[in-house]
Amino acid sequence: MTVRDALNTALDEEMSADPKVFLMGEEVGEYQGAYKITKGLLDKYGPERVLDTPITEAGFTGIGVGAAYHGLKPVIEFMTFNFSMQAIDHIINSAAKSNYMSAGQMSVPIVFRGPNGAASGVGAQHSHCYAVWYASCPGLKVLAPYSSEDARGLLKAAIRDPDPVVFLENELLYGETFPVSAEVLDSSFCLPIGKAKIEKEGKDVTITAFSKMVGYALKAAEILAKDGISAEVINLRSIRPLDRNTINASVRKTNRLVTVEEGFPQHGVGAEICASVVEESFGYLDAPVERIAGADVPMPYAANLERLAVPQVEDIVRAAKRACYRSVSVAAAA
Amino acid sequence: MEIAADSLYKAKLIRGFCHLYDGQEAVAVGMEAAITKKDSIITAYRDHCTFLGRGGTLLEIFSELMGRQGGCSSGKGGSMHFYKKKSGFYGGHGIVGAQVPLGCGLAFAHKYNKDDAVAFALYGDDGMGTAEWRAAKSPSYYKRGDYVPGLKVDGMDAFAVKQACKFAKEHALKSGPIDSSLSLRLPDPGQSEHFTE
Repeated sequence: MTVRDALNTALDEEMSADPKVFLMGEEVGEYQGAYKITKGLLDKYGPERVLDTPITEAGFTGIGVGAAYHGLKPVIEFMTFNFSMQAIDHIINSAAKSNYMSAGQMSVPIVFRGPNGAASGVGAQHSHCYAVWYASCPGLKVLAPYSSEDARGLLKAAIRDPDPVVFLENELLYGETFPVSAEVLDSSFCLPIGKAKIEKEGKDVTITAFSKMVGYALKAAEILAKDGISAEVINLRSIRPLDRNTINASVRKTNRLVTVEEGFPQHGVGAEICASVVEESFGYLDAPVERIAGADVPMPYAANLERLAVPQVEDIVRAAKRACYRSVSVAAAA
Repeated sequence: MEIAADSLYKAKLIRGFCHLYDGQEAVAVGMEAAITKKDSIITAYRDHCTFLGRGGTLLEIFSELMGRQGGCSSGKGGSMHFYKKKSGFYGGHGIVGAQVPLGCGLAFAHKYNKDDAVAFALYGDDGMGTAEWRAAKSPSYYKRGDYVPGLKVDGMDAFAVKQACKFAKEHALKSGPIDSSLSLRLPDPGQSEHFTE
């Protein structure tokens, strides 16, 4: 099943199960979705439940949060999360903080979903990763699926969740196919929020990743295996809450850690994971934590520069080897 | 130039986004004829011909589109991010609508500096192929909510555009902002571009 179909079927099933669920966003209806994620849903559920909006994120996000205040369950699509910046006040101040500020009265059962992070050749304003922007805010849940199983299970969980969830998809993963079991295809399938998945077990070094980088980490693990290094690959699935238990248990087993993300390095997901491991498992580390992240520059357009600005499989392999063999610290990131 | 860019894009030698200006040349040409390089122009992502009008060269344009160092943004910006500050061209913006308040800022700077120049902020009703009726609540842009005076202009006629811009500049210097809606007839049904300053 492709990730695209996984998301489409998840939306379809949740809309069928709960009449309070509705979709809103640019091109989600008549155009069948900018990336065809919402294909067929307007025909099936009608214009009262699948709403095409004008190009005004601030407007329709506010409307969605207001509807959620009243008990409806909106799924708001951002054509990419770059455009969510136009609406971030509503995501943070109107949605994320309301439950706390109202001492539990105002639950906001809303999902914000769309492609996040780097695509291909779209330049600086269209390639930003927002994982840490949202994950730093208490009151939000932030999910990042990798496989079709992740996409189905996590989107269903997000829609059923009574709190605001930021659901970070990846444009380049939409067309990828993953095997799915009968259990995943069942309409009651749901994954728990806040639980990471160990994609591949290993004993020499832990590699954490999310979204597209999980695929890269798995490829790196294959290459490392040829050099006798057994890597354990953790698919985070949930950026907030972060599954600190799974990560720390893994590091206590392998004693070495490489964190991988596509976004900018400063204050990134890797920085948070590193802090968590130092706080909870310092005595178990045999090497400094390695962080692989995107380059600390706005995403360049030229193809050769863009390739240099995002992590490649070789960067993950090099970092894992550094974590395994080195005896002196290295200052520069890959 | 734009037809050549289209071929290059289809051959995947231009990547990412490539929004073409062909069919709308009267707008850039007419506007340039009415103003000077001291006036500022800012637009959205359909900026190839605007850049050319402001003094850009074909070499700079094609180099940029193909991600070369010789491009006007050294290959780092791409199609949507052409700039020529010394000729008063401030880009080249990817986020729909962003250039409108920025254009107001440019106009503010002109007023603040008392330099007898104006800012033209251009935007289209289109976004990304979104049909006009889905993109905005009220497509009578030149009426601008009955708050800012407006002109409706045939955007296919370069001379009409020139006169409109000349009039608009004089009006802006004397009395304040003015909205011009330039109608275009483009091959795709249901699409038209409106420019405002």
